[in-house]
Amino acid sequence: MLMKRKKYLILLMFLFLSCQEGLAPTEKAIIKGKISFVENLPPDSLIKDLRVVAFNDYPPKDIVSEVLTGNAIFTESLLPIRNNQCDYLIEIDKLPATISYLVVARQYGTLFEWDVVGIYSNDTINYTPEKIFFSKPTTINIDFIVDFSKKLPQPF
Amino acid sequence: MKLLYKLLLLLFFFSSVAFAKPKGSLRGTVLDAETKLPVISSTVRIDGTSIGSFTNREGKFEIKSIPIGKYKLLVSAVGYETQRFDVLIRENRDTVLEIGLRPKVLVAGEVVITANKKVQTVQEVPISLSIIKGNIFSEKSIVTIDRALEYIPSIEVNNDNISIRGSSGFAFGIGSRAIMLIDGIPVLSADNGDIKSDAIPFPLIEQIEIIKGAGSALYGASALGGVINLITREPKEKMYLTANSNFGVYTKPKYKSWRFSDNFQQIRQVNFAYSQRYDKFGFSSSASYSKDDGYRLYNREEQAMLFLKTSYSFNDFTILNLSGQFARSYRDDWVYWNSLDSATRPPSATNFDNQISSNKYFIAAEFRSIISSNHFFTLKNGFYLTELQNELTGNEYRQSTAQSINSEIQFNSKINDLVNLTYGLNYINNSVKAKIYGNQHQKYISIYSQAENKFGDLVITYGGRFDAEQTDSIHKNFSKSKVEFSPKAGLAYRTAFNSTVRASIGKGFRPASIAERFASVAFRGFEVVPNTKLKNEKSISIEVGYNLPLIINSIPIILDFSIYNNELFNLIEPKFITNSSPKIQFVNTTRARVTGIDFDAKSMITSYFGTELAFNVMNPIDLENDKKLKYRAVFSSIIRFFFVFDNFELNADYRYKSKTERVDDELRFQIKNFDARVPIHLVDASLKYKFSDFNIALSSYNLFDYYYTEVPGNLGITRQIVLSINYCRN
Repeated sequence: MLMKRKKYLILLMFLFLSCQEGLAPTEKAIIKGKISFVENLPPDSLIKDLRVVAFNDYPPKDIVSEVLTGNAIFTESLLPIRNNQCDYLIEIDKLPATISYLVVARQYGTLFEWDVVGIYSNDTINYTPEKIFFSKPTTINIDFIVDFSKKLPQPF
Repeated sequence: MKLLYKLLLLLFFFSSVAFAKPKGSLRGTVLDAETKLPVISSTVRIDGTSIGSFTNREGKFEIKSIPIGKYKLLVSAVGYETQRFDVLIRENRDTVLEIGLRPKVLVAGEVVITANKKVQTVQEVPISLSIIKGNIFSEKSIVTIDRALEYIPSIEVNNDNISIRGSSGFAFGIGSRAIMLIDGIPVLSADNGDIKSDAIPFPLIEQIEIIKGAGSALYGASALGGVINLITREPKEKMYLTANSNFGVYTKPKYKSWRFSDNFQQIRQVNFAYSQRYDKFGFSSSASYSKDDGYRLYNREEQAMLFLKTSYSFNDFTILNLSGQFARSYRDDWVYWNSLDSATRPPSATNFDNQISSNKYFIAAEFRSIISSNHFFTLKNGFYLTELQNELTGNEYRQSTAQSINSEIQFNSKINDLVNLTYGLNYINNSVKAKIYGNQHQKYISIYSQAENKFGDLVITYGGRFDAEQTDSIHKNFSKSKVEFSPKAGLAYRTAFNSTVRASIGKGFRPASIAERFASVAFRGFEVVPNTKLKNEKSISIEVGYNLPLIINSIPIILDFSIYNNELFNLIEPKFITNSSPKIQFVNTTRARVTGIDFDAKSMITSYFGTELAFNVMNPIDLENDKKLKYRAVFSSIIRFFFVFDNFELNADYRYKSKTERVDDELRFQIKNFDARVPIHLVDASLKYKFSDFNIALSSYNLFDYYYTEVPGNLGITRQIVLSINYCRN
């Protein structure tokens, strides 16, 4: 009886010791798409920066602190706004992940002065944010139409 | 060549002396001491020599025409305790013996030959020695020596670099700090000084003996960290025939980004071995072919090997062995991965047309003779040729032809009842023709002697070896070269309860290989530049060990424990000589110390369940930088067990290696995610079904598909599942 237990213990130990993760690719989820700008863009002085920002939580505090604390990711550089249309790509490398609020944001003043000019939402009246959940590496396509003259709900 | 002629003359002189002596003969029967049944194929040897006979189906043996005198017989057989007997051979008389061998569930008295260049039991050896049985190749479906050595915790295999107790790091295999021998004859390539892992007669290997620690006092250059001796099967009257066929696949990686093919990558192997003695002639042969699609893209490998060995007994005390091997391999020139995200693919700029082919030729002659009851000698000559080339015209940076000729004459003399002496001369001539090394010649001349004193249960060994090395383009002749003296001393004391205490101290050295001195090449983003001013590497190994066979509650257990300290001087390592460019030079860079504990416990808990636990824990320190040595794991262990039930046998091994603390940081310039490494957890398992002379086995290497690296940018072997059919008549 004791011998049997010993054998099972050894088997269990093998299983336990070997159930380690090991190396894995740095697998990422990707959100990419196009941003189309409706004509009548504001002057350059009112568009100091423009980025797509993915927030983990909604509502967020503000863009800068959320990015610095790792609760938000944004596109790496200023989007080229004068071409009527541009592509963007955001990589999310910590999975699983939930994006609660995906927006196009504009810096119109100081480093802390941003507003939302595009929201990923299926609600065309109240613009309730749509959540995105990534359990494994996936690429999804989300396009935005940005109309600077439209007033959108501002969380900041 | 003159030296060779002189050695041959010596040989005939000593042989004629031997033939002229008055002789007697010895015959007898070896029986199981408990059942009184004959023990077939047991080995009966004149102690300290390889000369002797094997028992036939009736357990009978006969050794004719032995020079008269007093001898010790060493009788060993698988599953029995090795025993010694005194015999007196008288002129024209038959000495008749009946020998009873005691069966052992766990064999503690294994017979080895490497430690002191003579046949003796493990308990008499003053240094730590591991033994791997030859059947590991068929049981694990492996065909190379590096894969077989992975199952010893104190050995690390970093690609082609074999590191015994932390002696080596990673240098693309160049400059091995362990010497490899086939039946006592060195097989290190003359150019890189490396071990060709695929050029071994694995289907015919009886056992692999590994000396853990400096072995230069008997084996000279390159035995800085240890000695690996592949002992091939001696042909016996009873035929040995084995044939294996293995077919396997690598399962697809768990991660999509690592999958590079829609099909399963395959492994195919066939091999056979045959060995038999017909009166005075013995004949052994083996052949193998394997093709491996690889678990990575552009990582295919194909290899074939043929080995022949014949022996002729002029009489029972004079034997000539001739052996030859040809091995060819053809492989993709994989160096490192594209990135961790695409770990199974090479960098995107890789030219997939580039393949490397290599040929390895090995020819050896060994002549053994007893001159008298107190003196016997062995003459060995080996020729080892390696050819390496790229298959890509115009970029033949790998091309090299290197040959090594090794001649050695060794004597064993019994000075009196207490003192035995082993002494000899060794001459090695290496020549290399290579695009990246130029035309180079390197020679060694050596003389060695070792005494063994027996005082009851205490055996003391002491001796040393002088080696002079000359490389033509550096030293004009031997008088300009530096002579290395490598002393050693050791003791083995058999205490009560059959336990043995051992202690030893020895020196090792290794001159730089031709590759390390003269390499001048640019490949895969690296540029290697020559350094002709390299000094010899040196080591001093000290160890104390204890071997204890126990019986607890009728369960036999063998414990072996050793504490060691290796001091390493002037270690030659590839070093990035600038911080920002990938320019590498081999330099004497490291003064290191490796202190550790080696432990092994094995037990047959019941007649159908056995287990083994072994571990090595060490502190490998680079004393100049006060950091851990690169590419060494501090802790490594293995747990293995097997069950036997009816015709089934289940084997499983779990291997663990702690995360290597340091690698070359400069590799970041060439290899993406160079720093990706984790502790290693590997489980291998096999289920075997035996019927008649056949075995069918289903086995898996890396059963849980654990992903790891041993060297930067190289994913370890992923899960293999192999079906094997084996026929063995023995």
